[in-house]
Amino acid sequence: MLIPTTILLALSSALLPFLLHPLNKLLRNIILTIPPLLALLIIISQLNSQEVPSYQLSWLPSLGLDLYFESSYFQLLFGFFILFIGIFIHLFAVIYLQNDPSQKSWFFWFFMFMGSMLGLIFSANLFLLFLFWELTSLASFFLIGHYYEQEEARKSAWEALLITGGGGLCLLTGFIMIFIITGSVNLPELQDKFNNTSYPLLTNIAILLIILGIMTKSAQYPFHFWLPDAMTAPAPASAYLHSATMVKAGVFLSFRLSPIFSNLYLWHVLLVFFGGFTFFWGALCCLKENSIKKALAYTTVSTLGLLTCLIGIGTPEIIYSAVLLMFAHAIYKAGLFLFAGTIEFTTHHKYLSKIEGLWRKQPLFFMVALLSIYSLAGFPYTFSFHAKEELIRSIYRLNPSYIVMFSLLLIIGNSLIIGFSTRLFIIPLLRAKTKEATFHPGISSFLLTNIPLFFAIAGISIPLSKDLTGIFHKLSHNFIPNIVVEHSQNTTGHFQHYLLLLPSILSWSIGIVLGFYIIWKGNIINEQGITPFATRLYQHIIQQLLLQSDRITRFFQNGKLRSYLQTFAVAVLIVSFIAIVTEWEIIKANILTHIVRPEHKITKYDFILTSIIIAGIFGVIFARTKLTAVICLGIIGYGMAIVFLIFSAPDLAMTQFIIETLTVSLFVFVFYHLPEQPLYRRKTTKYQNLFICTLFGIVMGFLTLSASSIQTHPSISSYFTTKSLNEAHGGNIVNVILVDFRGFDTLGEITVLAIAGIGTYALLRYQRLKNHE
Amino acid sequence: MNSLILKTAGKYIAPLLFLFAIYLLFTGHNQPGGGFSGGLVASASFILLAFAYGVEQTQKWIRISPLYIIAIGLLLAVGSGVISILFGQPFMTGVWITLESLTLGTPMLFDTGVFLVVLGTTLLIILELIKEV
Repeated sequence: MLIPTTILLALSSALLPFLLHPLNKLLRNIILTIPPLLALLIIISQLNSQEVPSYQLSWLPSLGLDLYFESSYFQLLFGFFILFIGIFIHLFAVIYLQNDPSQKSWFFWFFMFMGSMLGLIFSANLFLLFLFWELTSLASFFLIGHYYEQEEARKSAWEALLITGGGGLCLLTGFIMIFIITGSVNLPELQDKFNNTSYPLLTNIAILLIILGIMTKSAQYPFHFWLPDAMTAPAPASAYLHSATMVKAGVFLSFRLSPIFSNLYLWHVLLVFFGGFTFFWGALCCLKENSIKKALAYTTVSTLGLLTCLIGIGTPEIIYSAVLLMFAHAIYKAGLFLFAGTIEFTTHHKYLSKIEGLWRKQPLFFMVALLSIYSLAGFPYTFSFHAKEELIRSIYRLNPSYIVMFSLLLIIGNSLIIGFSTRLFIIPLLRAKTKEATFHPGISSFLLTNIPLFFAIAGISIPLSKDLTGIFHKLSHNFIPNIVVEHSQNTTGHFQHYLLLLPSILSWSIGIVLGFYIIWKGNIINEQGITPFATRLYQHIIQQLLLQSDRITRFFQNGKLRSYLQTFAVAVLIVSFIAIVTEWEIIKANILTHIVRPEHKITKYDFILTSIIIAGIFGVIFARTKLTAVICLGIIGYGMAIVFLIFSAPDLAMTQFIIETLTVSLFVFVFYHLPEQPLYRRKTTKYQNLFICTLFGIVMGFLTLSASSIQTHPSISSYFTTKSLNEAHGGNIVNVILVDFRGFDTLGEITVLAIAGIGTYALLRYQRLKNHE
Repeated sequence: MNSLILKTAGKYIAPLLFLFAIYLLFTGHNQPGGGFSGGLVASASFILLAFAYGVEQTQKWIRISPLYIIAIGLLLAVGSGVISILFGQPFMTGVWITLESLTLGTPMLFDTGVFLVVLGTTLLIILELIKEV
């Protein structure tokens, strides 16, 4: 019960800005942190308990959807990070968005995101997880598009939503396939059921789809481009969603699923391959990027790639080191993004080359940068150094051929990132060409500097503190036995300490040299930033999609009622022709019985009535004015009503009479709005329409004749006649069916009627208001 | 449209039409009629008035906006279905009370809801159309 409470607490903060009276805006915004703080306390209390609590409530059992949460130590720790980082970033945002008129909606989506991310972490039901997964995408959409007056922000918000949403659909399909394969979507049950499946092909397709979902969410190549583009968001969103938490959702899901899929070759190959390439590619891109936030986004992409790759390798030690790396990354990257945000906030510049000479004017802020970048580069005694050391140690336990491969990958990727760190550090901070320095002295607010500073210090102090390292040791004990041991037979055990440091030292030295080389060359960096090929491809696809769907819509929705009717008639004709040709024998027999043994004796009244209706039809066709045509239409309608009367359906007849009267009077009023135009412009159109109409009429008559004598089910009218008076106390069976037996249908009908009425009303009103202007 | 004949006739016919509509609604369960046709006849009575006296005058006589009529109708229809839930039966099961020879039940309320929705929708659209002229 405590776990759903934490989610609800975080979500409740989303509503608070609308409920609290804003006596003091700053105070109100700070009060918003209280529910997440409570949730944080709950999670801390759970961290010390020994058992793994779970909570299950049947929600939609027919769809396999349960409210099923569980909280292992790893999940609790992740939840702790989400709340902890989130609270600080919220405090930062309070200052950052101080004068923003739409800050309420920002807070709403921020805490919606926080709650749904917690839900995603704790849910143990795949469909529930998917629900929260999509909620985070939605929240991300609104947060990226927060400055919606800017076209760039709208575009990148759409981009993120389409990519992650599309991936989400793949994920859902994959989950459904897993449901088909195993008959269960509850994560704890899945592991046993998955090991002996009999659908190898379906399993592989499911894995492919799930990996697609993971790759889009965690910005893996070739879907990585939405993440740098999403940097149009305000800095707190970039810091929280696009580095610390949301993009980790994909990685988190692969953590959760890795025990289940550990026996499947495809899972490992795909994750290692795409993750490894993304690690390299992101690191390469960040070197070339000029905008600070975008470059940082590329380092995030790179780290996400590394994490995915490590999960793909999948030995327990490596997964543990990946968890450490993920937490380390969350802390220092949040700090770095807030740092970038503060620079943007105070200097109104986002390009690296524009900002110079920071350390003279803002020594404290310079410390923030120093420490964060120190963590980013993974230099000794930082949390990320600790994680990487753990990682290298576990890599050395792999096969010798793997050791070489992954060490090389690690050295190359890390040296690229260190090269970037050197550049990031030297250009804006140290280089003292103050001629163009635009950094305004005096960061007005305490929080704007101190929150990034806090994260920067946290990134370094965690490995120093005995308590905190204790937590991570507990994590490793909790984590490793849960993972299926697969590769770890090749444990070599002994390795020298200098060997452990060798990859790090190599990448530091290569990286620093590379960084200075790039600063010295200068021209590698594109002033305006880079547009990756994937972005251009995406933009082209979207553009074409809009263009073509516009074309198709214009073709079918051309605004002429006549052509709609024509399309409809022709389509029905084609379908009916197919039916008549394939079922000819049955239809022929049916029609013959009708003609040979008619149920209704034809009287002289029928003759008179039919001739009146037919006269009405000809009247409509040959009428010279619209008014005559409408009156003739009325004649047809009245004729039909009398037919209903003859066949003893007084209810129907009465309704038909009133409808006909109302329609004719309505038509008379509508005429004022219709443009004066001749009914037909060309002779050919006339004949074409005549042909279609005649054929349509014949075919419809044909089908009616044959349909009325087909009885596939026993008649239900006797049921209604016997039950109507006894059980529903009504003599009028039609009415009893309408309001009692099939009352639910009627409820639907009147709802549709009301909606249609309101829609028509809105259209008419809108038109009139437009005319008035 | 300013016609003395229409105005004079409308003054007498419209109330009769509306009474007839109510009659149709109540008799509908046993004889021809019901919420649908009753609602249509009722709206016809107001439309007759609108033809004769104009939309603004008619809206004054109706007093509440057709939008509210629709809303009340839908609420009534859904509410009549909820009553059976209070008696522990599935949604929209008929609940009946017998008072000597008279049997009353929730389908009656439901039919009234239908009546109001049909009346409201027809009025909403047609009055708006006539107003345009």
